[in-house]
Amino acid sequence: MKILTIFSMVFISISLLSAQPSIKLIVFPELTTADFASFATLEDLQGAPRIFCAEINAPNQTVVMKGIIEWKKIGSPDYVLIAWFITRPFLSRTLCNDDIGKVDVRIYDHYANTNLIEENIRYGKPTGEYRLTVELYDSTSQNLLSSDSRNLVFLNPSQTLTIINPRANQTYDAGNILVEWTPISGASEYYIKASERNDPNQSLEEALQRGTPLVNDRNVGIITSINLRDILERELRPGSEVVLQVSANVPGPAGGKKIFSEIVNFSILNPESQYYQQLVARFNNVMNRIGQNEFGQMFQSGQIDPTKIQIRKEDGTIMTFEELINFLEMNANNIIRITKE
Amino acid sequence: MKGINILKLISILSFLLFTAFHPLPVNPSGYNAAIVLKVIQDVKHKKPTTDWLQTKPATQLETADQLRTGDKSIAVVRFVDGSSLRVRENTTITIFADKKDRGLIKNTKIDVGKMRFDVEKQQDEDEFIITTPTAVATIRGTSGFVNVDENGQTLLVVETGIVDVRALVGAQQAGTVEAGNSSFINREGNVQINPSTEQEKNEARNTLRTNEKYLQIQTPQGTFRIYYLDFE
Repeated sequence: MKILTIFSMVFISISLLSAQPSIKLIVFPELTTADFASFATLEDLQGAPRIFCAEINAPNQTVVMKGIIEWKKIGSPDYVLIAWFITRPFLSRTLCNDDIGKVDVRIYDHYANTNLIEENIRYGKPTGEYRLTVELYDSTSQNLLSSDSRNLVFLNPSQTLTIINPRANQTYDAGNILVEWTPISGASEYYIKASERNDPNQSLEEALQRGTPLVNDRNVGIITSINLRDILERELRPGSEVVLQVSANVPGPAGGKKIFSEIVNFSILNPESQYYQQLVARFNNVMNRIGQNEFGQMFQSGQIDPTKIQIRKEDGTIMTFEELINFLEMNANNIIRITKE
Repeated sequence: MKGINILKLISILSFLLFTAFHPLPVNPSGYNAAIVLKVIQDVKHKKPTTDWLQTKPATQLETADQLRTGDKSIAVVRFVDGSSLRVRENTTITIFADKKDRGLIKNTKIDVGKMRFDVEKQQDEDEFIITTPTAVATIRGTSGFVNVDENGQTLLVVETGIVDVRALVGAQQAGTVEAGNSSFINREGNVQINPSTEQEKNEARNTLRTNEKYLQIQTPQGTFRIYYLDFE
Protein backbone atom coordinates (compact mmCIF):
# COMPACT_ATOMS: atom_id res chain seq x y z
CA MET A 1 0.00 0.00 0.00
CA LYS A 2 2.83 2.31 0.99
CA ILE A 3 4.64 1.49 -2.25
CA LEU A 4 1.48 2.20 -4.24
CA THR A 5 1.12 5.63 -2.55
CA ILE A 6 4.72 6.58 -3.35
CA PHE A 7 4.34 5.39 -6.95
CA SER A 8 1.13 7.45 -7.32
CA MET A 9 2.84 10.58 -5.96
CA VAL A 10 5.77 10.20 -8.33
CA PHE A 11 3.39 9.67 -11.27
CA ILE A 12 1.36 12.77 -10.34
CA SER A 13 4.53 14.84 -10.01
CA ILE A 14 5.76 13.75 -13.43
CA SER A 15 2.34 14.53 -14.92
CA LEU A 16 2.36 17.97 -13.35
CA LEU A 17 5.87 18.62 -14.59
CA SER A 18 5.01 17.60 -18.11
CA ALA A 19 1.99 19.87 -18.01
CA GLN A 20 4.17 22.89 -17.12
CA PRO A 21 3.90 25.25 -20.13
CA SER A 22 7.20 25.69 -21.95
CA ILE A 23 8.59 27.47 -24.95
CA LYS A 24 11.65 26.33 -26.84
CA LEU A 25 13.33 28.38 -29.53
CA ILE A 26 14.61 26.64 -32.63
CA VAL A 27 16.84 28.72 -34.90
CA PHE A 28 17.46 27.04 -38.18
CA PRO A 29 21.10 26.07 -38.43
CA GLU A 30 21.20 26.45 -42.20
CA LEU A 31 20.25 30.07 -41.77
CA THR A 32 22.32 32.23 -44.07
CA THR A 33 23.67 35.52 -42.91
CA ALA A 34 21.72 37.31 -45.60
CA ASP A 35 18.45 35.71 -44.47
CA PHE A 36 19.06 36.77 -40.94
CA ALA A 37 19.93 40.28 -41.98
CA SER A 38 16.69 40.61 -43.84
CA PHE A 39 14.82 39.34 -40.79
CA ALA A 40 16.67 41.32 -38.15
CA THR A 41 16.17 44.54 -40.01
CA LEU A 42 12.57 43.93 -40.97
CA GLU A 43 9.88 45.92 -39.23
CA ASP A 44 7.10 43.85 -40.66
CA LEU A 45 7.59 40.25 -39.58
CA GLN A 46 5.16 38.92 -42.12
CA GLY A 47 6.88 37.95 -45.29
CA ALA A 48 10.25 37.49 -43.60
CA PRO A 49 12.09 34.30 -44.41
CA ARG A 50 11.66 31.47 -41.91
CA ILE A 51 14.30 32.13 -39.31
CA PHE A 52 13.03 30.51 -36.16
CA CYS A 53 10.20 28.47 -34.67
CA ALA A 54 8.98 28.58 -31.12
CA GLU A 55 7.94 25.16 -29.88
CA ILE A 56 5.17 25.92 -27.40
CA ASN A 57 4.04 23.20 -25.09
CA ALA A 58 0.94 24.38 -23.20
CA PRO A 59 -1.91 22.14 -24.27
CA ASN A 60 -5.28 23.86 -24.64
CA GLN A 61 -3.99 27.01 -23.01
CA THR A 62 -4.42 30.49 -24.41
CA VAL A 63 -1.06 32.22 -24.40
CA VAL A 64 0.71 35.36 -25.52
CA MET A 65 4.20 35.33 -26.98
CA LYS A 66 6.72 38.13 -26.86
CA GLY A 67 9.73 38.15 -29.17
CA ILE A 68 12.80 40.29 -28.60
CA ILE A 69 15.68 40.93 -31.02
CA GLU A 70 18.84 42.47 -29.62
CA TRP A 71 22.14 43.30 -31.24
CA LYS A 72 25.68 43.59 -29.96
CA LYS A 73 27.88 45.48 -32.41
CA ILE A 74 31.42 44.18 -32.97
CA GLY A 75 33.58 45.75 -30.27
CA SER A 76 30.61 46.80 -28.14
CA PRO A 77 30.19 45.21 -24.67
CA ASP A 78 26.39 45.41 -24.46
CA TYR A 79 23.33 44.30 -26.34
CA VAL A 80 20.97 46.96 -27.58
CA LEU A 81 17.34 46.42 -28.41
CA ILE A 82 16.56 46.36 -32.12
CA ALA A 83 12.90 45.31 -31.98
CA TRP A 84 10.22 43.50 -30.01
CA PHE A 85 6.72 42.33 -30.68
CA ILE A 86 3.83 40.92 -28.61
CA THR A 87 1.13 38.73 -30.07
CA ARG A 88 -2.52 38.80 -29.29
CA PRO A 89 -3.73 35.75 -27.26
CA PHE A 90 -3.75 32.53 -29.25
CA LEU A 91 -4.37 28.90 -28.51
CA SER A 92 -0.96 27.47 -27.87
CA ARG A 93 0.72 25.82 -30.79
CA THR A 94 4.17 25.69 -32.27
CA LEU A 95 4.64 28.71 -34.47
CA CYS A 96 7.36 30.14 -36.66
CA ASN A 97 8.25 33.74 -37.32
CA ASP A 98 6.52 33.72 -40.69
CA ASP A 99 3.27 32.60 -38.97
CA ILE A 100 3.18 35.73 -36.87
CA GLY A 101 0.65 38.20 -38.18
CA LYS A 102 -1.45 35.47 -39.76
CA VAL A 103 -5.09 34.83 -38.88
CA ASP A 104 -4.75 33.05 -35.53
CA VAL A 105 -1.59 34.77 -34.31
CA ARG A 106 -1.96 38.51 -34.67
CA ILE A 107 0.52 41.09 -33.49
CA TYR A 108 -0.82 43.19 -30.62
CA ASP A 109 2.05 45.64 -30.34
CA HIS A 110 5.57 46.05 -31.63
CA TYR A 111 8.58 48.34 -31.44
CA ALA A 112 11.53 48.85 -33.76
CA ASN A 113 14.58 51.05 -33.28
CA THR A 114 14.76 52.59 -36.74
CA ASN A 115 18.23 54.03 -36.25
CA LEU A 116 19.67 50.62 -35.46
CA ILE A 117 17.75 49.03 -38.27
CA GLU A 118 19.16 51.61 -40.67
CA GLU A 119 22.63 50.97 -39.30
CA ASN A 120 22.19 47.25 -39.92
CA ILE A 121 20.94 47.94 -43.42
CA ARG A 122 23.96 50.11 -44.08
CA TYR A 123 26.25 47.27 -43.08
CA GLY A 124 24.47 45.24 -45.71
CA LYS A 125 24.93 42.06 -43.71
CA PRO A 126 24.62 40.92 -40.13
CA THR A 127 27.64 41.85 -38.11
CA GLY A 128 28.39 41.20 -34.46
CA GLU A 129 26.09 39.20 -32.25
CA TYR A 130 22.31 38.95 -32.34
CA ARG A 131 20.14 37.57 -29.52
CA LEU A 132 16.68 36.23 -30.13
CA THR A 133 14.49 35.81 -27.05
CA VAL A 134 10.95 34.44 -26.87
CA GLU A 135 8.79 34.67 -23.78
CA LEU A 136 5.54 32.83 -23.18
CA TYR A 137 2.84 34.47 -21.04
CA ASP A 138 -0.49 33.34 -19.72
CA SER A 139 -3.05 35.40 -21.65
CA THR A 140 -5.22 36.17 -18.64
CA SER A 141 -2.85 36.47 -15.69
CA GLN A 142 0.01 37.91 -17.84
CA ASN A 143 2.37 35.71 -15.82
CA LEU A 144 5.57 34.62 -17.49
CA LEU A 145 5.26 30.91 -18.12
CA SER A 146 8.54 30.19 -19.86
CA SER A 147 11.26 31.79 -21.96
CA ASP A 148 14.14 30.81 -24.18
CA SER A 149 16.85 32.63 -26.11
CA ARG A 150 19.55 31.94 -28.68
CA ASN A 151 22.64 33.91 -29.64
CA LEU A 152 23.74 34.18 -33.24
CA VAL A 153 27.28 35.32 -33.84
CA PHE A 154 28.38 36.76 -37.18
CA LEU A 155 32.00 37.58 -36.66
CA ASN A 156 33.10 36.93 -40.20
CA PRO A 157 30.44 38.43 -42.38
CA SER A 158 30.30 37.20 -45.92
CA GLN A 159 30.05 40.15 -48.22
CA THR A 160 30.87 43.77 -47.71
CA LEU A 161 30.30 46.54 -50.18
CA THR A 162 33.02 49.10 -49.55
CA ILE A 163 33.50 52.38 -51.34
CA ILE A 164 37.17 52.64 -52.26
CA ASN A 165 36.85 56.12 -53.70
CA PRO A 166 35.89 58.87 -52.94
CA ARG A 167 37.20 58.73 -49.40
CA ALA A 168 35.47 60.27 -46.45
CA ASN A 169 36.28 63.89 -45.60
CA GLN A 170 38.52 64.44 -48.64
CA THR A 171 38.23 67.26 -51.15
CA TYR A 172 37.90 66.41 -54.83
CA ASP A 173 37.84 68.30 -58.05
CA ALA A 174 34.33 68.34 -59.49
CA GLY A 175 35.40 66.84 -62.78
CA ASN A 176 37.51 64.04 -61.40
CA ILE A 177 35.52 62.11 -58.87
CA LEU A 178 35.93 58.47 -59.68
CA VAL A 179 33.51 56.35 -57.67
CA GLU A 180 35.03 52.92 -57.05
CA TRP A 181 33.74 50.11 -54.88
CA THR A 182 34.47 46.48 -54.04
CA PRO A 183 32.55 43.89 -56.06
CA ILE A 184 29.81 41.79 -54.52
CA SER A 185 29.62 38.22 -55.66
CA GLY A 186 26.32 37.50 -57.40
CA ALA A 187 25.35 41.17 -57.81
CA SER A 188 23.15 41.78 -60.85
CA GLU A 189 23.60 45.54 -60.80
CA TYR A 190 24.83 48.40 -58.66
CA TYR A 191 23.05 51.60 -57.76
CA ILE A 192 24.51 54.95 -56.81
CA LYS A 193 22.79 57.54 -54.74
CA ALA A 194 24.35 60.92 -54.00
CA SER A 195 23.04 64.11 -52.46
CA GLU A 196 24.36 67.46 -51.42
CA ARG A 197 24.59 67.85 -47.66
CA ASN A 198 23.14 71.28 -47.03
CA ASP A 199 23.45 71.34 -43.27
CA PRO A 200 26.55 70.07 -41.46
CA ASN A 201 24.31 69.07 -38.54
CA GLN A 202 22.43 66.67 -40.76
CA SER A 203 23.42 63.03 -40.32
CA LEU A 204 24.86 61.39 -43.41
CA GLU A 205 21.72 59.25 -43.69
CA GLU A 206 19.48 62.28 -43.48
CA ALA A 207 21.58 64.15 -46.01
CA LEU A 208 21.42 61.21 -48.41
CA GLN A 209 17.66 60.92 -48.09
CA ARG A 210 16.68 64.57 -47.78
CA GLY A 211 19.57 66.60 -49.20
CA THR A 212 19.58 68.06 -52.68
CA PRO A 213 19.68 64.96 -54.90
CA LEU A 214 22.61 64.67 -57.29
CA VAL A 215 22.26 61.05 -58.33
CA ASN A 216 18.99 59.37 -57.53
CA ASP A 217 19.61 55.64 -57.12
CA ARG A 218 21.02 55.37 -60.62
CA ASN A 219 21.43 51.81 -61.94
CA VAL A 220 24.99 51.72 -63.29
CA GLY A 221 25.01 48.06 -64.27
CA ILE A 222 27.60 45.53 -63.22
CA ILE A 223 30.66 47.83 -63.26
CA THR A 224 32.60 48.68 -60.09
CA SER A 225 33.78 52.18 -60.97
CA ILE A 226 32.33 55.19 -62.70
CA ASN A 227 33.11 58.87 -63.03
CA LEU A 228 30.53 60.70 -60.94
CA ARG A 229 30.26 63.40 -63.59
CA ASP A 230 28.84 60.87 -66.06
CA ILE A 231 25.78 60.15 -63.91
CA LEU A 232 25.14 63.51 -62.29
CA GLU A 233 21.60 64.82 -62.54
CA ARG A 234 22.65 68.27 -61.30
CA GLU A 235 25.93 70.12 -61.44
CA LEU A 236 28.22 69.86 -58.42
CA ARG A 237 28.65 73.15 -56.62
CA PRO A 238 32.26 74.14 -55.84
CA GLY A 239 32.78 74.09 -52.09
CA SER A 240 29.73 71.93 -51.41
CA GLU A 241 29.70 68.70 -49.41
CA VAL A 242 28.39 65.53 -51.01
CA VAL A 243 27.19 62.26 -49.46
CA LEU A 244 27.24 59.10 -51.54
CA GLN A 245 26.21 55.48 -51.16
CA VAL A 246 26.54 52.48 -53.44
CA SER A 247 24.19 49.51 -53.22
CA ALA A 248 24.22 46.12 -54.90
CA ASN A 249 21.23 44.09 -55.92
CA VAL A 250 21.78 40.39 -55.43
CA PRO A 251 18.97 38.31 -56.99
CA GLY A 252 17.56 35.49 -54.87
CA PRO A 253 14.46 33.34 -54.40
CA ALA A 254 12.62 35.80 -52.16
CA GLY A 255 13.16 38.74 -54.49
CA GLY A 256 16.85 38.92 -53.72
CA LYS A 257 18.52 41.29 -51.36
CA LYS A 258 20.14 44.67 -51.44
CA ILE A 259 23.56 45.23 -49.95
CA PHE A 260 24.45 48.78 -49.05
CA SER A 261 27.83 50.39 -48.64
CA GLU A 262 28.55 52.83 -45.87
CA ILE A 263 27.77 56.45 -46.73
CA VAL A 264 30.81 58.58 -47.51
CA ASN A 265 30.96 62.35 -47.39
CA PHE A 266 33.43 64.48 -49.33
CA SER A 267 33.79 68.05 -50.51
CA ILE A 268 34.05 69.66 -53.91
CA LEU A 269 37.12 71.76 -54.52
CA ASN A 270 36.43 75.44 -54.95
CA PRO A 271 39.10 77.14 -57.08
CA GLU A 272 37.97 80.52 -55.74
CA SER A 273 38.54 79.54 -52.13
CA GLN A 274 41.46 80.54 -49.94
CA TYR A 275 41.92 76.86 -49.16
CA TYR A 276 42.55 76.14 -52.84
CA GLN A 277 44.97 79.04 -53.16
CA GLN A 278 46.88 77.70 -50.17
CA LEU A 279 47.07 74.27 -51.80
CA VAL A 280 48.52 75.78 -54.97
CA ALA A 281 51.10 77.74 -52.97
CA ARG A 282 52.09 74.61 -51.00
CA PHE A 283 52.42 72.63 -54.20
CA ASN A 284 54.68 75.25 -55.79
CA ASN A 285 56.84 75.31 -52.66
CA VAL A 286 57.30 71.58 -52.57
CA MET A 287 58.09 71.49 -56.29
CA ASN A 288 60.85 74.05 -55.66
CA ARG A 289 62.23 71.82 -52.91
CA ILE A 290 62.24 68.79 -55.20
CA GLY A 291 64.09 70.64 -57.93
CA GLN A 292 63.50 71.59 -61.53
CA ASN A 293 61.20 69.32 -63.51
CA GLU A 294 58.81 69.67 -66.40
CA PHE A 295 55.71 68.94 -64.35
CA GLY A 296 56.53 71.63 -61.78
CA GLN A 297 57.30 74.15 -64.52
CA MET A 298 54.05 73.46 -66.38
CA PHE A 299 52.13 73.74 -63.12
CA GLN A 300 53.75 77.03 -62.16
CA SER A 301 53.19 78.52 -65.61
CA GLY A 302 49.50 77.62 -65.37
CA GLN A 303 49.60 75.05 -68.17
CA ILE A 304 48.49 72.33 -65.79
CA ASP A 305 45.25 72.98 -63.95
CA PRO A 306 45.15 71.04 -60.65
CA THR A 307 41.38 70.73 -60.92
CA LYS A 308 41.84 68.71 -64.09
CA ILE A 309 44.34 66.12 -62.94
CA GLN A 310 43.87 62.59 -61.70
CA ILE A 311 46.46 61.16 -59.33
CA ARG A 312 46.92 57.45 -58.72
CA LYS A 313 49.33 55.43 -56.66
CA GLU A 314 51.14 52.50 -58.22
CA ASP A 315 48.48 50.13 -56.86
CA GLY A 316 45.77 52.12 -58.63
CA THR A 317 44.28 53.87 -55.63
CA ILE A 318 43.34 57.48 -56.14
CA MET A 319 44.90 60.41 -54.31
CA THR A 320 43.40 63.85 -53.97
CA PHE A 321 45.44 66.94 -54.82
CA GLU A 322 45.78 67.69 -51.12
CA GLU A 323 46.96 64.12 -50.40
CA LEU A 324 49.56 64.48 -53.15
CA ILE A 325 50.84 67.69 -51.57
CA ASN A 326 50.96 66.10 -48.11
CA PHE A 327 52.86 63.15 -49.55
CA LEU A 328 55.36 65.33 -51.40
CA GLU A 329 55.95 67.51 -48.36
CA MET A 330 56.68 64.43 -46.27
CA ASN A 331 58.83 62.78 -48.92
CA ALA A 332 60.52 65.62 -50.79
CA ASN A 333 63.93 64.10 -50.07
CA ASN A 334 62.81 60.72 -51.32
CA ILE A 335 61.64 61.91 -54.74
CA ILE A 336 64.18 60.67 -57.24
CA ARG A 337 62.78 61.89 -60.54
CA ILE A 338 59.67 63.16 -62.31
CA THR A 339 59.15 62.03 -65.86
CA LYS A 340 56.62 62.58 -68.63
CA GLU A 341 55.45 59.28 -70.07
CA MET B 1 103.00 3.33 -78.14
CA LYS B 2 101.17 1.75 -75.23
CA GLY B 3 103.82 3.19 -72.86
CA ILE B 4 103.16 6.71 -74.16
CA ASN B 5 99.41 6.35 -73.57
CA ILE B 6 99.97 5.27 -69.95
CA LEU B 7 102.31 8.23 -69.46
CA LYS B 8 99.64 10.59 -70.89
CA LEU B 9 97.01 9.13 -68.56
CA ILE B 10 99.26 9.52 -65.51
CA SER B 11 99.96 13.14 -66.49
CA ILE B 12 96.23 13.98 -66.84
CA LEU B 13 95.40 12.27 -63.53
CA SER B 14 98.22 14.08 -61.79
CA PHE B 15 96.99 17.41 -63.12
CA LEU B 16 93.41 16.73 -62.03
CA LEU B 17 94.55 15.67 -58.55
CA PHE B 18 96.76 18.71 -58.23
CA THR B 19 94.04 21.17 -59.24
CA ALA B 20 91.41 19.46 -57.06
CA PHE B 21 93.37 19.80 -53.81
CA HIS B 22 95.21 23.03 -54.39
CA PRO B 23 93.75 25.81 -52.17
CA LEU B 24 92.44 29.09 -53.61
CA PRO B 25 95.24 31.55 -54.20
CA VAL B 26 95.58 34.02 -51.34
CA ASN B 27 94.19 37.49 -52.24
CA PRO B 28 93.59 36.63 -55.87
CA SER B 29 93.19 39.66 -58.05
CA GLY B 30 89.93 38.37 -59.56
CA TYR B 31 88.22 37.29 -56.33
CA ASN B 32 84.45 37.99 -56.40
CA ALA B 33 83.81 39.91 -53.21
CA ALA B 34 80.24 41.12 -53.67
CA ILE B 35 77.36 41.42 -56.07
CA VAL B 36 75.24 44.44 -56.89
CA LEU B 37 71.64 43.53 -56.11
CA LYS B 38 69.86 46.73 -56.97
CA VAL B 39 70.60 49.86 -58.94
CA ILE B 40 68.46 52.98 -58.78
CA GLN B 41 69.29 55.74 -61.27
CA ASP B 42 72.98 56.51 -61.87
CA VAL B 43 75.44 53.98 -60.47
CA LYS B 44 78.89 53.29 -61.92
CA HIS B 45 81.75 50.96 -61.06
CA LYS B 46 85.36 50.53 -62.13
CA LYS B 47 88.35 48.29 -61.71
CA PRO B 48 91.74 49.78 -60.81
CA THR B 49 92.75 49.59 -64.45
CA THR B 50 89.51 50.54 -66.23
CA ASP B 51 87.24 53.54 -66.70
CA TRP B 52 83.88 53.95 -64.99
CA LEU B 53 81.22 51.61 -66.37
CA GLN B 54 77.46 51.80 -65.93
CA THR B 55 76.47 49.33 -63.20
CA LYS B 56 73.60 46.93 -63.73
CA PRO B 57 71.95 44.60 -61.24
CA ALA B 58 73.96 41.35 -60.83
CA THR B 59 77.26 43.10 -61.55
CA GLN B 60 79.98 41.27 -59.64
CA LEU B 61 82.48 43.35 -57.72
CA GLU B 62 85.98 42.04 -57.27
CA THR B 63 88.45 43.14 -54.67
CA ALA B 64 89.71 46.71 -55.23
CA ASP B 65 86.68 47.57 -57.41
CA GLN B 66 85.10 50.97 -56.88
CA LEU B 67 81.40 51.86 -56.95
CA ARG B 68 80.01 55.36 -57.27
CA THR B 69 76.43 56.65 -56.99
CA GLY B 70 75.17 59.86 -58.55
CA ASP B 71 72.47 62.32 -57.50
CA LYS B 72 69.38 60.61 -56.04
CA SER B 73 70.90 57.26 -56.88
CA ILE B 74 71.27 54.11 -54.81
CA ALA B 75 73.06 50.79 -55.04
CA VAL B 76 72.47 47.74 -52.88
CA VAL B 77 75.54 45.51 -52.62
CA ARG B 78 75.64 42.06 -51.04
CA PHE B 79 78.73 40.25 -49.85
CA VAL B 80 79.27 36.50 -50.05
CA ASP B 81 78.41 36.10 -46.35
CA GLY B 82 75.01 37.77 -46.83
CA SER B 83 76.01 41.13 -45.36
CA SER B 84 74.73 44.08 -47.34
CA LEU B 85 75.48 47.73 -47.98
CA ARG B 86 72.93 50.27 -49.13
CA VAL B 87 75.01 52.92 -50.79
CA ARG B 88 73.17 56.24 -50.83
CA GLU B 89 73.47 59.12 -53.31
CA ASN B 90 76.79 60.81 -54.19
CA THR B 91 78.86 58.16 -52.46
CA THR B 92 82.04 56.43 -53.56
CA ILE B 93 83.21 53.15 -52.05
CA THR B 94 85.99 50.70 -52.72
CA ILE B 95 85.56 47.06 -51.87
CA PHE B 96 88.35 44.81 -50.67
CA ALA B 97 88.03 41.16 -49.83
CA ASP B 98 90.97 39.13 -48.62
CA LYS B 99 90.70 35.42 -47.96
CA LYS B 100 93.03 34.50 -45.13
CA ASP B 101 93.83 30.93 -44.03
CA ARG B 102 90.34 30.26 -42.73
CA GLY B 103 88.53 33.55 -42.65
CA LEU B 104 87.39 36.21 -45.05
CA ILE B 105 88.28 39.86 -44.41
CA LYS B 106 85.87 42.31 -46.04
CA ASN B 107 86.88 45.92 -46.01
CA THR B 108 84.78 48.69 -47.55
CA LYS B 109 86.46 52.02 -47.93
CA ILE B 110 84.08 54.97 -48.14
CA ASP B 111 85.68 58.23 -49.27
CA VAL B 112 82.61 60.42 -49.12
CA GLY B 113 78.86 59.90 -48.82
CA LYS B 114 76.40 57.79 -46.89
CA MET B 115 75.97 54.10 -46.59
CA ARG B 116 73.85 51.73 -44.52
CA PHE B 117 75.37 48.46 -43.38
CA ASP B 118 73.55 45.29 -42.34
CA VAL B 119 76.30 42.91 -41.40
CA GLU B 120 75.68 39.22 -40.74
CA LYS B 121 77.21 37.72 -37.61
CA GLN B 122 80.84 37.12 -38.50
CA GLN B 123 82.61 33.80 -37.94
CA ASP B 124 85.63 33.82 -35.59
CA GLU B 125 88.13 34.24 -38.40
CA ASP B 126 85.99 36.62 -40.47
CA GLU B 127 86.00 40.39 -40.26
CA PHE B 128 83.83 43.14 -41.68
CA ILE B 129 85.55 46.51 -41.69
CA ILE B 130 84.49 49.94 -42.88
CA THR B 131 87.26 52.42 -43.46
CA THR B 132 86.79 56.16 -43.87
CA PRO B 133 89.44 58.89 -44.32
CA THR B 134 89.41 59.43 -40.53
CA ALA B 135 88.37 56.11 -38.97
CA VAL B 136 88.16 52.37 -39.15
CA ALA B 137 85.17 50.49 -37.78
CA THR B 138 85.11 46.77 -37.08
CA ILE B 139 81.63 45.34 -37.29
CA ARG B 140 80.21 42.02 -36.09
CA GLY B 141 76.54 41.29 -36.64
CA THR B 142 75.48 44.89 -36.66
CA SER B 143 73.25 47.30 -38.52
CA GLY B 144 73.72 51.03 -38.80
CA PHE B 145 74.69 53.89 -40.95
CA VAL B 146 77.86 55.76 -41.77
CA ASN B 147 78.14 59.28 -43.17
CA VAL B 148 81.44 60.73 -44.35
CA ASP B 149 81.41 64.47 -45.08
CA GLU B 150 83.52 66.38 -47.60
CA ASN B 151 86.25 66.86 -44.94
CA GLY B 152 86.45 63.15 -44.28
CA GLN B 153 84.86 63.44 -40.83
CA THR B 154 82.82 60.39 -39.94
CA LEU B 155 79.42 59.95 -38.30
CA LEU B 156 78.63 56.37 -37.32
CA VAL B 157 75.09 55.51 -36.14
CA VAL B 158 74.65 52.04 -34.63
CA GLU B 159 71.11 50.62 -34.66
CA THR B 160 71.85 47.07 -33.46
CA GLY B 161 74.95 45.26 -32.24
CA ILE B 162 78.35 46.74 -31.39
CA VAL B 163 81.00 48.49 -33.47
CA ASP B 164 84.62 49.03 -32.44
CA VAL B 165 85.84 52.29 -33.86
CA ARG B 166 89.34 53.76 -34.05
CA ALA B 167 90.50 57.09 -35.47
CA LEU B 168 93.17 56.84 -38.14
CA VAL B 169 94.40 60.42 -37.78
CA GLY B 170 95.60 62.80 -35.08
CA ALA B 171 94.90 61.63 -31.53
CA GLN B 172 93.85 58.20 -32.87
CA GLN B 173 91.28 57.74 -30.12
CA ALA B 174 89.26 54.53 -30.02
CA GLY B 175 85.93 53.44 -28.56
CA THR B 176 83.07 50.97 -28.67
CA VAL B 177 79.72 52.13 -30.00
CA GLU B 178 76.70 50.20 -28.80
CA ALA B 179 73.19 50.03 -30.26
CA GLY B 180 71.32 53.32 -29.96
CA ASN B 181 74.52 55.35 -29.93
CA SER B 182 76.40 57.37 -32.49
CA SER B 183 80.04 58.22 -32.84
CA PHE B 184 81.57 61.25 -34.48
CA ILE B 185 85.23 61.07 -35.51
CA ASN B 186 86.74 64.42 -36.48
CA ARG B 187 89.90 65.33 -38.35
CA GLU B 188 91.81 65.65 -35.08
CA GLY B 189 91.25 61.98 -34.41
CA ASN B 190 88.82 62.49 -31.50
CA VAL B 191 86.13 59.88 -31.06
CA GLN B 192 82.92 61.20 -29.45
CA ILE B 193 80.24 58.69 -28.52
CA ASN B 194 76.73 59.88 -27.61
CA PRO B 195 73.18 58.51 -27.68
CA SER B 196 71.82 58.88 -31.21
CA THR B 197 69.62 61.90 -31.77
CA GLU B 198 66.14 61.51 -33.29
CA GLN B 199 67.47 63.04 -36.49
CA GLU B 200 70.28 60.48 -36.66
CA LYS B 201 67.86 57.63 -35.97
CA ASN B 202 65.49 58.89 -38.67
CA GLU B 203 68.33 59.22 -41.12
CA ALA B 204 69.45 55.68 -40.36
CA ARG B 205 65.89 54.38 -40.80
CA ASN B 206 65.53 56.33 -44.02
CA THR B 207 68.51 54.50 -45.50
CA LEU B 208 66.23 51.44 -45.69
CA ARG B 209 64.31 53.15 -48.49
CA THR B 210 65.59 51.29 -51.50
CA ASN B 211 62.30 50.42 -53.15
CA GLU B 212 61.45 52.54 -56.18
CA LYS B 213 57.76 53.40 -56.53
CA TYR B 214 55.78 56.00 -58.44
CA LEU B 215 52.68 58.13 -58.45
CA GLN B 216 50.96 58.70 -61.77
CA ILE B 217 49.39 62.01 -62.62
CA GLN B 218 47.11 62.21 -65.62
CA THR B 219 46.67 65.68 -67.04
CA PRO B 220 45.23 66.98 -70.30
CA GLN B 221 48.87 67.74 -71.18
CA GLY B 222 50.02 64.17 -70.73
CA THR B 223 50.84 61.63 -68.05
CA PHE B 224 53.58 62.30 -65.52
CA ARG B 225 55.20 59.96 -63.06
CA ILE B 226 56.74 60.96 -59.76
CA TYR B 227 59.24 58.29 -58.74
CA TYR B 228 60.12 58.03 -55.06
CA LEU B 229 61.99 55.80 -52.67
CA ASP B 230 59.97 53.68 -50.31
CA PHE B 231 60.85 51.08 -47.69
CA GLU B 232 61.53 47.55 -48.87
